[in-house]
Amino acid sequence: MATFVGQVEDNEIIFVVWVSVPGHADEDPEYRSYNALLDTGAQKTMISPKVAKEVGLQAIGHMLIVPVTGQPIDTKKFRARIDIPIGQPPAQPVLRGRELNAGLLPYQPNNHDVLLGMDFISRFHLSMYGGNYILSN
Amino acid sequence: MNDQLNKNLKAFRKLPDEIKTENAGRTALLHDGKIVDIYNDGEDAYRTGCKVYGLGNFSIETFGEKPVSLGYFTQFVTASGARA
Repeated sequence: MATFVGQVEDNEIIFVVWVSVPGHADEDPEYRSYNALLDTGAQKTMISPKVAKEVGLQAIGHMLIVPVTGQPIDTKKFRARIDIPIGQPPAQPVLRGRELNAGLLPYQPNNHDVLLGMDFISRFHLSMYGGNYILSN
Repeated sequence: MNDQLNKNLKAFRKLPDEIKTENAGRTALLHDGKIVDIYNDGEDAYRTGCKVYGLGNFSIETFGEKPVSLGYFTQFVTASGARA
């Protein structure tokens, strides 16, 4: 079972993910690396405008998100594949992620480009203890 | 692509309320401002769209889709979509 252990820093779990255009599940996808924030309070995975542009993701529709006012706003949804590299290259193992519909964040976060929501997180075993987190599938 | 998305979204929103209610939870596949078909599973709608039109040339919209909470980050999104 592939396992990834990291430290919770500043009460946040941030690690690197690979984002790629979907449709390459059994091949080596052309991916780009981005920092991702793991957020169990978010229902859906979101990406920044930078990710959508750099990876060349295609919008496939719209979704509604709830802003601070409570009145839902529209944002685009993109189809993307997200995996989690663990260990060191060149034989870099990967926590097999998934292809999903990711919403477009309406702003650019400071320290990450991907917000991993429960649609992604629920595919993994996640535990936290003693300031560390353990992610496996 | 934005034209395709916007045209499709406009068509989707114009649908009569009865159709939206009858198909709550189902997903529409749209192309060139028209609904091509409605699927029980959004993944089926997506796969069919890819196969028939190619990624980037269609959109999928779900009837009665609930707004998504971003948890902690909800507080940073203003009504205009900008960061608070």
